Amino acid sequence: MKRRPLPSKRSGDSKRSGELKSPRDAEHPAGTFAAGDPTATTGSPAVTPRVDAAPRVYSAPPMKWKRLLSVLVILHVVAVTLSLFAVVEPSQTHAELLSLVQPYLRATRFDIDDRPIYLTHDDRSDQPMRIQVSDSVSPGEDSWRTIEPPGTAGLAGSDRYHRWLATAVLLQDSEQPGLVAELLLGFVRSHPEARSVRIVLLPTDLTSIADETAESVYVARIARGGDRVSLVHVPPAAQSAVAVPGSGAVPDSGEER
Amino acid sequence: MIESWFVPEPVERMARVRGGLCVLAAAYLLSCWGDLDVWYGEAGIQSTSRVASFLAAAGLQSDARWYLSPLFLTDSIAAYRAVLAAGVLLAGLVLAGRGGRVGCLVLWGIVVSMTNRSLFLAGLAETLLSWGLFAAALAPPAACWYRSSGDVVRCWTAGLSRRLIAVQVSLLAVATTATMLAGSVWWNGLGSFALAAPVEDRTIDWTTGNLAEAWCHDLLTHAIVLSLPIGVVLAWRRPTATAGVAIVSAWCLVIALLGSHWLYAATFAVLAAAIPPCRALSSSDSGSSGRSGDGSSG
Repeated sequence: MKRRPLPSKRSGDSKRSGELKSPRDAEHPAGTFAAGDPTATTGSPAVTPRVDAAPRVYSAPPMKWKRLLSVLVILHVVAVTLSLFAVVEPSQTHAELLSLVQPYLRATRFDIDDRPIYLTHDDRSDQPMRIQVSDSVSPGEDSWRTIEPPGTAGLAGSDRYHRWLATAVLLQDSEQPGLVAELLLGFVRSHPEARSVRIVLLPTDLTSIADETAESVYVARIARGGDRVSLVHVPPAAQSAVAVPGSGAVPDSGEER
Repeated sequence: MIESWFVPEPVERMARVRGGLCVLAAAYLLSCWGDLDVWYGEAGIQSTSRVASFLAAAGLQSDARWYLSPLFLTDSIAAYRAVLAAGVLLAGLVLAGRGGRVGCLVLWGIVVSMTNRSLFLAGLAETLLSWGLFAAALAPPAACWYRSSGDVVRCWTAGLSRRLIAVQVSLLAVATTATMLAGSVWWNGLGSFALAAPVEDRTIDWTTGNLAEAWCHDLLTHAIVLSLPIGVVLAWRRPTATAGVAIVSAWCLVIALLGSHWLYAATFAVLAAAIPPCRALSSSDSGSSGRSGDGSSG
C-alpha cells in the first residue's frame, strides 16, 4: 500500500495531493488549487482561500478492526494502569497481575517501574548522594575526595549519577553489600589511585539536627592485584575502627572480581 | 464506547503534540551524549559485561530479560554516538512532517533502546516520552507548524492517538495525586520545600527565599496537590479546556523549578496539551467528504 505524508507546502505535492481529492475538489483541478493541501493557501500568495471549505474526513475502519483495536487499547491502558498504581505498595494480587504484563511494559518502556511519580516523600532516596574515594586504606575524615556528578546540578547527567547511587543505597539498605560492590566496581576501576570508597548522604534543610553531617551508608576497602580489583565492605560497627590500623576489625563480606 | 476511540479529529493538534515530543526526544538523546563514556563503553560503569555480572549476582536475569535493546550487543562508544545522532536527526525530520509514521516509530524505538540500555539510570521522563512517541506514531505525519486553512483534514488515527495520550496522562495525574497523598509531606505543608531541599542536586536554590516561610511552602504544597487533578478535570471539558491546560502547565512549571525535573515536567506539559477534546463534526461536515482510510494512503 502506498504511504503518503499529509500534504505540505511543497509544490511537488500537487500530483500526490490529487489522490486525496474529494468529489468537490474536481471543481479545482490539481495544480491550480493544490487540492487536499490545507497549507497551499498560505504557501502560495497566488491562491485564493476557499470560503466554503469543509473538513476532509478519513472515516473509521470497519467494525471488526474497531473491535480488535479497542481490545488492544484497553489491554494497553490496563497494563499501564497496573504499573502506575504499583508505585507505593502493591497488593499480592496487584503484583501478580503486574508480573503478567511486565514483558510488554518493559520491552516498550511503558512501565513506571517503582519510580517516584509522587515527586517526593522526603525519605532517604531524596537526599543528595555522593561517592567519595580516598588514597588511604584507613582514611581519616579529611582524606575523602568527593567525585561530583557530571554536568549542571538538576540536569540529566546529575540525575543519572543520583539514580546510580540511589540504587546502591537501596541495595545497601537491603543488606546486599555484595551487589553494591558489583555496582561500584566499574567506577573503582576508573580510579586506580583509590584505596577506599564510600557513599554518603548529604543533609538537607529538612533532615534533623542529629543528621547534620554527611551520613556514610557504604564503606569499602579496595584491594588491587594485577588486573583484579576487590571491594571489601566495612560494616558500620567496624567503620569507626577503619582509621585505626591494626584494630582487628574484620569485614563481614568481601567480593573478588 | 468502541466508537468513541475512532471519531476523526483534525490532524494539526497531534502534529503539534508530536512536534513537542520530537524536541524533547532530541533533548533527551543529546543529554546522553556528554556522559556516554562514563556509563557505557568497555571501561564504563555500566558496560555490558558489568551489567551482566550485576544481574547474575543479583539473580535478576529473568526480570531484566525484557529490557530489550540492541545497544546491549556492543560497548562501542562510536556505535552509541551513531544511534544518538540518528535519533536527533530523525526527531528533526519527524518535527518537519517527514518520515511518516515509520519515522516516528523508529524514533520511539531509539528512545526506548537508549532507555532500556540505561536500566536503572532511566527516570520518569523516558517513560512519558515512550508513551507519547508511540501514541503519536499512530497519527498521520504532518509538520508541527502545520496549520489548516480552510480545508481541515480530519482522521480517525489522529483522534485515536490524541485520546490514547489523553487517557494515559490523565491516569498519570490521578496516580501522581494519589501517591503524593501517601506521604505526610504533602499533608503537612512541607512537600514543596522537600522538593527544593536537596539543593546540591537542584539547578536553582529556592530554600533561602520566601519558600522557607511557612505560609509560602504551605500554600504552594496544597496548590501543587490540588491543581493537578483540578486542571486535568477542567482540561477534559471543552468550555474549560484552555484553563485546565493552563493549570496543568503551571503545575509542570512549578515542579520543574522546585524539583529540577525539567524533562519530566516539559514532557508532562506537552502530553497534557492533548487532553482537550476536539470540536465534534457536524453531520453535514462528515457527510460532505467522508472517506474510508487512515489518512496515510491515497
